[in-house]
Amino acid sequence: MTEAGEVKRPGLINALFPSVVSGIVLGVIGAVVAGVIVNAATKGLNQDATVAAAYTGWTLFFFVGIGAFNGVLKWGFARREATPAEELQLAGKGQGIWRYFRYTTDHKVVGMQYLATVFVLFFVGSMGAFMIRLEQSTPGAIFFTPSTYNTIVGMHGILMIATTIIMVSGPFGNFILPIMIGARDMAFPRLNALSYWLLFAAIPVFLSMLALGGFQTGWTGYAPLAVQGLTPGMDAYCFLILIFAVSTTLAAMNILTTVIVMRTKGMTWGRLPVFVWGVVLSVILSLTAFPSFIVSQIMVLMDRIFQTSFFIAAYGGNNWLYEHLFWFMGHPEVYVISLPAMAVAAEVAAVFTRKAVFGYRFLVSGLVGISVLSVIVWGHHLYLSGSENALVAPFMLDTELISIPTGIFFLVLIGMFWRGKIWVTVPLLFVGGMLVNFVIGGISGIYLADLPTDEILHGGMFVVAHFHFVIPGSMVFGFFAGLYYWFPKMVGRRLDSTLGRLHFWLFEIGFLGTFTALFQAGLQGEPRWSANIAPPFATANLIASLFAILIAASVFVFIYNVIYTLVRGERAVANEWGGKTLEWTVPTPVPLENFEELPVVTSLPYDYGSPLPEPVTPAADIASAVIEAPIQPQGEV
Amino acid sequence: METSLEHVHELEPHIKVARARAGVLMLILSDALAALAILAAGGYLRTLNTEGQYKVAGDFAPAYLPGLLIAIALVLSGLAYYWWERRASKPGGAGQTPFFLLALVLMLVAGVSETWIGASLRYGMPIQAYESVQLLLPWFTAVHLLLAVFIGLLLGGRILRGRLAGHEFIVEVVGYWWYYTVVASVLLWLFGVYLT
Amino acid sequence: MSEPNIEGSTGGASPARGEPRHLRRAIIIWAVLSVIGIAVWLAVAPFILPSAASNLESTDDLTIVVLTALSVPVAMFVWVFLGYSLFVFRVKDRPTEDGVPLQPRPSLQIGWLGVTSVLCLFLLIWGLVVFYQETASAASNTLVVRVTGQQWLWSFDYPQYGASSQSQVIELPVNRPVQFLVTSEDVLHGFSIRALGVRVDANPGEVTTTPVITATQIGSYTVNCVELCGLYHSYMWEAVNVVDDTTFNAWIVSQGGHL
Repeated sequence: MTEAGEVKRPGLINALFPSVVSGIVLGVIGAVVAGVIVNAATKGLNQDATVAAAYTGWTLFFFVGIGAFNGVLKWGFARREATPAEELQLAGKGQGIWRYFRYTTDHKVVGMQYLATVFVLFFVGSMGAFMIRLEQSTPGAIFFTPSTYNTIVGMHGILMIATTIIMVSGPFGNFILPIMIGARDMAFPRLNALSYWLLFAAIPVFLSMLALGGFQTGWTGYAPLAVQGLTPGMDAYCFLILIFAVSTTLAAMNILTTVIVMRTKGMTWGRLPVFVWGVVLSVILSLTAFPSFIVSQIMVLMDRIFQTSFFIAAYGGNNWLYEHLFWFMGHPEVYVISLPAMAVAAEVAAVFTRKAVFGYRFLVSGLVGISVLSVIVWGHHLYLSGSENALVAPFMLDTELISIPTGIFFLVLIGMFWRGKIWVTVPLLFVGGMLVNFVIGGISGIYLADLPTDEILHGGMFVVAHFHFVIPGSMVFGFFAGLYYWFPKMVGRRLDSTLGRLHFWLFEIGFLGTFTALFQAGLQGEPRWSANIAPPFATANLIASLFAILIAASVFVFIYNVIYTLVRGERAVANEWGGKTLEWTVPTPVPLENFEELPVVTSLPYDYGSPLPEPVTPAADIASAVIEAPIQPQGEV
Repeated sequence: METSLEHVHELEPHIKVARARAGVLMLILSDALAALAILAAGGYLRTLNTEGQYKVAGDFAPAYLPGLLIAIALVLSGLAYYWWERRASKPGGAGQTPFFLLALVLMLVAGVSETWIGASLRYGMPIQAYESVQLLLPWFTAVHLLLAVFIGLLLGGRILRGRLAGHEFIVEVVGYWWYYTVVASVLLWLFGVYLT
Repeated sequence: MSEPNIEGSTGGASPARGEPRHLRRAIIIWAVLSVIGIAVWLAVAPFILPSAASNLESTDDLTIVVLTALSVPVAMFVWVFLGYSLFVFRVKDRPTEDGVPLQPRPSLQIGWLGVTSVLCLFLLIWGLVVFYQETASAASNTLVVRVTGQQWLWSFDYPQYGASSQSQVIELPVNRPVQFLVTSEDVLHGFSIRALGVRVDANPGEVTTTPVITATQIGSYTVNCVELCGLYHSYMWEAVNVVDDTTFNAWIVSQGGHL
């Protein structure tokens, strides 16, 4: 290192150690060593213990290898604090593209890492979905054995749930949010890197499920089937959850602290963009929800490895305990998924209708209402379990109540479209699709919230169609709205808008066809998790599978669009859409320090059509902020 | 805040304090909810007494006296830390380092003992629900105690290197986690006794 | 969203002109489509829902019909206003001016909350009423059937008669109240007879009960499993026959029972 601020280009060894490569190498060594030791200690009789030891070894040594402990140990034992140059090096300065493969603290790097990972996970999850539709297109377990099918269903489920949890907060909560509140980075940059790499470390654990015989419980991992599971693939599921839950908890803590502590001057809570509110409320929910999930998986692991009986009725355990622990997390978790996506929709709608949020405080109070209520409704997943029949009525009450703040969201969004100057870009198309699908998804939820209808629909395809309308049909559409909206800022290139429209229409038409057919199948009484489709439901399932081909086509259109854009896309300008939030005032690509001077905020970023002054001072000349934009989001090399 | 690149990571002192406080309090909240989930699970299984098998003749809890001694050691550790913190968290305060060391040693002894309790609980198969809970409690506690020891060692490193000056808020913030660990561990132990 | 409910900006273009026209049009479209939608639903519903074979199933089916009929205007509201906006207020390419800066008046917000609350309350009361009807105590001639789920089949007992179904078939007498007591031998299962509106989990170590239902239609229906229970979960199909009293009595005797 020469002077502060100048860092020598790393040689190959410096680039590789520490990096993801050294992490994986050490992680594998750690897994093998731990597995071998425990296997010897248990004389090979306790496969679950061996597997659990291997995963623990993997995780611990992966992080040693990637250099995560360096910062921790230096915090305690180093002779001095880190110099600014060292911090900058940790943030990826001077490392070119290699910074994406190291323990890099720059929030923009972490955001891109999350984005790439979300793409990969969505792709794999979609492949699982198409395999499911293939199997369900005809009666009988033709293409896959029931065991394989159950594993595919479970892997599709848990992969999609995990991915939708992070899909907005990971890429955009990391890359965009700090800029949007006028900060230079997150509150805890090293923890930020840790959150991402924990997610990465969970992926081999997930993939190893296939090698270990899969798992039979579906994504909800119900005990005692989870405890009975004869192959160690179930342990992979438990560890996947544990690692993922820690990753998400740390990320939640980081995002929340950042927003509390690092807003720029003038950015009061009342001037916070809606997107930030959505992410903040979502992470508060995840902080409260994930602990019970973690405990449930620890108990399943203990039942499997140490033969305890948390969930085994013959020895005093009870599966109701699992259901309560799981759903106490499981319900708020869908709002962890939904709130950021809903907030993105509002944010995007403001820009493309050139209108303020139709009732900012109204919307925020609606989102808050949803968050608060979501913690106390988990019992509606247990209406038919036989547990706490006395509580059915109270749970029905508060579950129905959630429809009221959700209604606020609809009113606000409609109010934004009404009499706006609507520029139908691809992001706005996805917002429109979200609104169309969310109506169906939300209303179908009412059927499940009311006991008389739940008792004929629970555990059937109606439930599946409901949550697909809400999660992929609405919230993933919200993700795509945010993606097409922020892609120019994050990557510096424009996605092709014709391909984008094609992606949207293929997805929406395919989606509507597939899941409307499944609603019908559910009304007829088709159960969930059916490797073997019974003949009465064959037609509906065939139709659903045919429409799913359109969804598959949309996935490939999207992938082509992304790859083509990365290779040959048009460069984007700094304020591609004329947005008013702070991220559009910085250049593209975004410099490492985000802002030359931290902005001072004087109002909400939604002053469309009003004679009020610009929300940000000084108002930089946006056109002059166009810079030759390479792929990387950082200006200096 | 400086504008040039070199000062990107320099935060104003009040922001450093605020973020440390917020971060630790959130982690405490999350962890406390996990502990509460365990307590709720224990109580729920006891109430359900599925097939009357929650607890059968011959089921036993960990020995009372070691648990009591550990609880006492933890309380003393918390008090020692508090005594040290009163001086050390003031700017320029040297603190009375022996008290910090006492707190750390007591925590270490408690952590090792708790691990030993967990490891030496030999429950015969099948393990009833009651015993399952009694097995989870010491292990959960042991993990937290050892984690506190690790944090204490890191903090001890800073003290040895003289790097507390200007960062006195670390003393306060680690203190939150320290007291939380003490309180949660004692409560979990009391709950285990109550279940018996 | 009538005109007095919307605040315009203090300066700039007057939002009031054109507003009543658009609003009126949208509301008319909404009303027409809602009526059509409800009519279509009511016409189509009997073909979509399987025929109800018990009193409970009839109530549940009626609930679905009513809920859907109520949902039509709600859904149309969102879709019509969204669609109308996208067609009428659309601009080609990047807009050069901003949209009308509308903000909701308190009366709109309160009115909206009021309407959604009333709908919500209606649904809740309906659901609670049906729920409490279900928990009514059993009549004296209620037939009790004990259901045991296991991987991967159901077995049935008739304790009042000392009979056990030998071939994984339930026979039920028509027009007689019946209640199912359900448990499991191993893992969680979900006992379900769609046509009778019966659905409850089978938990190991616990006995759960369905509401008392009365089968109203002679015919053959199916039992299936609705909680994933492992490999052959989707093969746990068995038959339910609703028959007249004589046939039922004869069947009970043939399964080892005494009347």
